Amino acid sequence: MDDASLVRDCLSGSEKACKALFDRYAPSMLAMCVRYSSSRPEAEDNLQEGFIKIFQNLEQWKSTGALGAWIRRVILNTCLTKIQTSQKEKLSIPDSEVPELLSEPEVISSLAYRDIIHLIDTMPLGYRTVFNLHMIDGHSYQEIAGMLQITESTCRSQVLRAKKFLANKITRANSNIKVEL
Amino acid sequence: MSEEFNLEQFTKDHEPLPEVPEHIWQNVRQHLPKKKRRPVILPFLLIGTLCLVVGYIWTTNGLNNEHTSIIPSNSLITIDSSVSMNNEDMNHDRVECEKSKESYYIPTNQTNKNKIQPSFTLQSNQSKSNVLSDQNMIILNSDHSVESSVQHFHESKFQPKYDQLNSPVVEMQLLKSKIIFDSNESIKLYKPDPKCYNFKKTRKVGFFVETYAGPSYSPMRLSNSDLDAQKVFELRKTSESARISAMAGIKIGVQFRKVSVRTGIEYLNMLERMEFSDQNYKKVEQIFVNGQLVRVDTITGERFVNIHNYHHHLSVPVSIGYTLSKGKNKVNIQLGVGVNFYSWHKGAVLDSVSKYAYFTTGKYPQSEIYNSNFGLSSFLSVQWEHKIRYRWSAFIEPAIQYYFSPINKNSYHIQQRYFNIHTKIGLKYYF
Repeated sequence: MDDASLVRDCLSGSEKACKALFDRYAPSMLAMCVRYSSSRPEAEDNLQEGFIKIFQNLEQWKSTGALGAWIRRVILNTCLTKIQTSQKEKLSIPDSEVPELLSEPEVISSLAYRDIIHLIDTMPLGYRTVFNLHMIDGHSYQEIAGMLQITESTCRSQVLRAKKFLANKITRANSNIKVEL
Repeated sequence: MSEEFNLEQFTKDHEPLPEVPEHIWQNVRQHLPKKKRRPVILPFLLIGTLCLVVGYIWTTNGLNNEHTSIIPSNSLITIDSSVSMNNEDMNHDRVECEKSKESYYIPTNQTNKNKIQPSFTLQSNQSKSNVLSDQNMIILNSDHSVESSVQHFHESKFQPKYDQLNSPVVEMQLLKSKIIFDSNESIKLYKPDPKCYNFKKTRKVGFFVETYAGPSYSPMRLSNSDLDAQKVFELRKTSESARISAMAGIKIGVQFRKVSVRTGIEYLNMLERMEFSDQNYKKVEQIFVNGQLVRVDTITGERFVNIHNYHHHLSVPVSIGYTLSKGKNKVNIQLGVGVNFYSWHKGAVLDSVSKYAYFTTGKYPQSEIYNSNFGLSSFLSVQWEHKIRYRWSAFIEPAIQYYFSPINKNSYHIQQRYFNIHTKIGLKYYF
């Protein structure tokens, strides 16, 4: 069943269709939530809250757009809102906390996904959020600036610092790997 | 070897899909929007219809029983006039029938005057015919005080004898001592009057506005006091004839119960058509070539002229009316006067040499023969009004109007008078 008919059934009140929609998109959305959250339970909370919003506002989805992208955006906004409101942590860290970039970064392509995610998780929340948004989810600086209500230049500098931070971490973890982000 | 690393693609390719715990769905499920249900109209419709039918039957039966179920026999009747005494606007006493739990009202102007505040009981074991006459009356033995009635009551040992059906005596049990019920008049029993509970002051004065337009017809009457102008007078009489024209206006009014007063501003057009045949018509045409007159053509014959004469009037009508109403319809008979404050004219009439001359106001000042205003007129109209929606009514109002003064100047030898028949069609709005 395609997305449009699934949504139509959901809007008509079919719980079965809602379950099918949830099962179709929840895993990938949970993976994204994990990247934007500091813990798994928090990611699950964000996922739950995001899907509640999705089902309550499903009529706002226009069938001309991709349902996955719309759901992704809703979940992402939920995660960002949670970060901005509940944790009250600034999305930037002072320059003094940024480690110095090693002169010869090494390649990380041989690293496992889990290792990379683990390294990303070690980043401060501000870096991690901007890094996730730009480097993994592919949002432009302008979009990120709009989401996080920061200036575009701040966004650029945050991403750059996050890259340096991550490169430093990787270099320390394995000196034989060249990091080029 | 340096290899460019695309983290976004790498993540997409390698990101594992975690298993979603079941409790998330259970929590989401509780917040799913409930299935939209169609509004249940039919049951409400049926219930509403049933209520209407039952209400209609109940109301009909109540009305039918109004003249028969006055007071049941063997019932205890309590007269309590304290309410009416405290409220001078309600000139009636309250009579309660304990058995039927119905209330009745007895006009007791006389008791009000006597400042009596009785609270006593009428008790009767008689049949209804003894208690009440055919006219639904309780006739009290008014020559006796309550004390004497009580004495009679005791003497009868609670078994009063009513041997005079034509003037039944109603025994009374005194609840408050030293109270004298003195009534020399028959007391009628009424069903509860809803108006007794209506303490809202009814609006005695209502304002409204009317706007209207309609066809108008103004026959003209010419009179001549100058024998020298007799020929023109005759020509004008035969050449001019009235035509249907139009009128419009707006009025504001105030309604005092059935009487209404209106005023406003009104436009009226009097229209005539002048048809004149000039049998001695002569037309001369001169033809010039290179500035030199080469030919003169003279055409003689009969010429037909048709000219419409317009007399525009602005007036202030003031009228008083009497309204008869029934349901959504009202008939208002109005009598009033109109004060013409400005008139202007356009057209032509025959002059003293049997030629037509234009009298258009402002354009031919030398030949103006009409006044710019001509004073009073009176009118009579009958307005039929039908309510079309809340505050709005439509009306049609045929009227006849007579102008006291001629519309021409005194210097003009032929006097021109009018009366007018018109029909107003319009809307009325009640504030």
